[in-house]
Amino acid sequence: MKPIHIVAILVLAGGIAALTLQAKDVATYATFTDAKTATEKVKVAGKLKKDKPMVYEPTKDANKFSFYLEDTQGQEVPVVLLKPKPQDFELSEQVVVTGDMQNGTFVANEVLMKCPSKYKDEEIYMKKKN
Amino acid sequence: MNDIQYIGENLLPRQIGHFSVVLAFISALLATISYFFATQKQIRTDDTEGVASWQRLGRWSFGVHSVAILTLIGSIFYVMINKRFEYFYAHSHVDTDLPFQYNFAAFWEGQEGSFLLWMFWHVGLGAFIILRGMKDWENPVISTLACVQVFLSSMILGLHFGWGEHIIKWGSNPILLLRETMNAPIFQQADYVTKLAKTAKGLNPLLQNYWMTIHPPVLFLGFASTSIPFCFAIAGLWTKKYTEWLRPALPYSLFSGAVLGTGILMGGAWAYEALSFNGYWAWDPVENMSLVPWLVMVAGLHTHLIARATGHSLRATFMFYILSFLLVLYSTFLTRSGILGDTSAHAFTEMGLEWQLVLLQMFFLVGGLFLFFKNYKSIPNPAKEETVTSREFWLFIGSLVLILSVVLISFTTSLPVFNKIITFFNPSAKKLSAPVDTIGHYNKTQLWIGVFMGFLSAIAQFLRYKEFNFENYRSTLLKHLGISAGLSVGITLLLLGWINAASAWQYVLLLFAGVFTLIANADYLVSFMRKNLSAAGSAFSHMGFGVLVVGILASGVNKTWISKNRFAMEGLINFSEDQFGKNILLMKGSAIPTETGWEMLYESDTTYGTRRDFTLKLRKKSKDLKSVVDSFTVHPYVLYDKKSGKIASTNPDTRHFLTYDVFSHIAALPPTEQDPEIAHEVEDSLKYRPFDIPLGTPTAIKPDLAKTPQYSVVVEGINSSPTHPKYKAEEKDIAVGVKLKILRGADSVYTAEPIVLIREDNVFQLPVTVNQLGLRIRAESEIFDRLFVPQKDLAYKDYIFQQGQTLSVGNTEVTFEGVNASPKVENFQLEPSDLAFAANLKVVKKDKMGDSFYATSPVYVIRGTTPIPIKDDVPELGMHFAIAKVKPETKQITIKIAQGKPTQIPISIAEDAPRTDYIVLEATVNPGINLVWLGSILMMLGLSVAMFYRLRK
Repeated sequence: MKPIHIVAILVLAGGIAALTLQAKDVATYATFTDAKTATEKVKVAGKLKKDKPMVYEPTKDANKFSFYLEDTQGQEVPVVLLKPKPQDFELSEQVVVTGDMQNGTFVANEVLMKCPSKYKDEEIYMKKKN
Repeated sequence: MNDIQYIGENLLPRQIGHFSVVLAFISALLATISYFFATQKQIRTDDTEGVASWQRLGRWSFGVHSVAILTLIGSIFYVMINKRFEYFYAHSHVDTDLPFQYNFAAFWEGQEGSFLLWMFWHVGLGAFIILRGMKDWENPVISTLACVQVFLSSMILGLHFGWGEHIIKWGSNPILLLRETMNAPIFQQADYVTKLAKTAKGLNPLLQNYWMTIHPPVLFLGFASTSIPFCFAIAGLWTKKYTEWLRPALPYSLFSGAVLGTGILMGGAWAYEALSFNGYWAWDPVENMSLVPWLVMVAGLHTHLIARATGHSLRATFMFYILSFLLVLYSTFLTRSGILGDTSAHAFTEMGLEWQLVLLQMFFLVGGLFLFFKNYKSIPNPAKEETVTSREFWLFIGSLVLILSVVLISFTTSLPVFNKIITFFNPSAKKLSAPVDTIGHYNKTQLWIGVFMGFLSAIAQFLRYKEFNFENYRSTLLKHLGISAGLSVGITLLLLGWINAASAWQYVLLLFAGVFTLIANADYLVSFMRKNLSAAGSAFSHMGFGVLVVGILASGVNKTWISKNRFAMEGLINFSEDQFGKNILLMKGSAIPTETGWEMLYESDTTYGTRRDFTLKLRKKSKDLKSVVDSFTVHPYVLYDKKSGKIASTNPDTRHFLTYDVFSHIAALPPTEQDPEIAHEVEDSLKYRPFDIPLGTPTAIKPDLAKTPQYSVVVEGINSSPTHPKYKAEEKDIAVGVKLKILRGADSVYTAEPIVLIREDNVFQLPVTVNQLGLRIRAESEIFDRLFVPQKDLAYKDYIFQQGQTLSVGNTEVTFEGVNASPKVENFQLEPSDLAFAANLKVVKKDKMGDSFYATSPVYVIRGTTPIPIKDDVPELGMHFAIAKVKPETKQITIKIAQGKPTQIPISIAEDAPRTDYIVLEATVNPGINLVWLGSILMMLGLSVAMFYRLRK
């Protein structure tokens, strides 16, 4: 075997090891039920409950924003985000939170919002008349 | 709808634009075909005449294509600059008050514009190649490039086919009229064009930034430039001249590496300087997908050099250049198909072109790989293998490691694609989510790539191509590497005093790898540069890589939140260190010490139009907190959306110092300052109590709520040209400000000036919050009746004065002090022929507590023969004065005086009003950022130096 092949195989082996290491981080979205038993932080995708209070009172705590989220199984849980309220949060429909469950509250330190497209009206293309 | 004759539409750009779109597509197709036949004839026959005539046709077609693209871009700019809002593109990306320089950013904000930018650069690069005279290479290279242009111009064709029930959209035309893109009632009106300015969307405030003017063109030139090595590689396979293309293609690869790298770097700089991300790199999918083609291009560059020098790695070079271009297409697909919506912060919105984008990728993937594997066996490969001590051996390994990095980054970035594929086969499958800790996820594997690259680029630089005589060279090599390694150990230890990385040995190793490649390449530059100038570029680049690694470590490991504020955690348990509040609440005017040894003061803020600038003072204390080491001002700002009045973007301010930056950004404002809807809700929920406060007299007010302290209010006066942060004066406004002093106890005095105004028969009130007392004070509209008393309600009596005479009027004494021959008259237009004078009167009200003095000056105007008296008043006493008669001969003046009660100013006060005078601040110290920039710039500089060297040769 040529030396270049040996090194190439070593690089390949390192690559496979690294890929396995990375693949471990990939999981499916958890539900709040999963979050209760999880030992590490999880990501939960859910629907923002707009009829429930969303509270951000900077004068009391600038790093606490609370709201309610309904996960894919229909379970509704209070969420505390340890950050100021993101701009236009109340407009979002789907929300992905990263964090863990603490005494019935999901404590999140990351949030990703999915807003309805601002440009939706532009995508309604005129249908041609027959 | 077709029956309506629209007024005011400018249809010329549409006609020119539509013609250009179709022409661009057809001429690209023609150029591809002509150059194709020119190439085929060139390969198969000796018919130089035939080749030349096909080539002529190809050149003409490419020329027409270039003109068509430029004309289309020109038409779009024309409608944007002239604010022709009847055009969809202008309506979506500009508005009436967009500054001129942002038209460029607005142009490439849209997908169609950025496609055009890409095509523009292809046209430029293609023209450069044709004009430079590449002999045999022009035909196959431009044929391939024109073929890419065929696909790209199809993206803006905007054709709609009927397919049974469905309408299939082929491309999105950028020069459509608004009414051609949507159905809306407004288009029933013939003069709808005049009504569009209000609805124009304008440029996203986040993009209103000079970085957005320069970053996209450079990045797209980078993307476009990857096509040229690709076209050369295809040309090499096509004409079976497997090695001859290497020489002419090399400067273009170096150019691509330098420009794409610069484009990515500028993206990082934009994110760092203008966005609230607080970082230059976040492993966001969009960032990753611009990095990945660059990494492959750099790998290709290295194998290219091996192939040129030794003939090895030729197959890899073909493969990498094809792959780099394919990854640009893949990146285009990911960022433009809307597939990244779940994972990326800044992907485009979808446009319905997903399948067209897939087709584009598939065509070049299948075509490129087919050509490659068809020729695989014929691509020459030296029988003699490379030795372990040769440069080509380790350069190739380095390229492999770069490709490995690409695979690792692409894997996670492609998760949304995996999800699409999985749900295609199994719609009920659970979706895969991005890693919980994105940055940690990529860092843990890329760190090792960095370590590898550091060592490889230090050692390989000293190795020689085709090494047959290593025995003689060994001692030189070991001497250089030994000295460099020794020096690097020392420097690494020194740096560890600054970079707090000793906690993790992996970081220490990476730091050493970075320093090692820096020192080794510097040594190489000094020791070998005179012998071989071409190495200077490579030494610069690798030194830059070393500096970059040190900068990444310093800024990544040592970033500290100086706005940390762990005192204010409420009611929650089990916090890990990263969950402590990173943002601090600052009340206006009070300096707050933080736990990190800083002191922060929110001093003031100023509003200009939609922009609100904040002035903050940051002071760094010494270790014992007794003295101030450093003190400076920062100005982060927020932009409000013009239409909704909500905050549209919060923009950081970064203070640059030599070894660190201080980043500051407004993380939140009081809810009432963020959103006018909330402000209205809060306003409606306040319980206002009305009061009539006599002018000038302190009036004690009994609070409603126990928490509100006792206070009294004085109306100091009335301001007829008031100011308020939320008030923009207009010409016909009638506005009054009530100058108030609010007294609490003996020495706490606060001022406030609520405004009430009439604009076009509507009354607007602009209340003011006295935050220290939790009061919100509003001026009421009855103030106008109180201040402007109708003449008929006044009981005037005549008083005759001599100059200097004092008369008693009720319980006051009035003195006629003299005449002012050039009076200023408010709310009255004097004409040049008018005679006007004012009587200066002094009014004294005797009181046990002391006398009060007031001055008033009624005016008398004689226009022609008509006298016009203009009255004046002392609202504090409710007295009105007007000149009735003047007798110059006796020097007597008759003044009508009406007495009344002191004017009562109607105001309302609400208690327990939420504060409006604070900000929530995020501030960090980012050390070593300058090393990141310096290292990256060195890398790009090295590539450019190498390019110019190769071009000259």
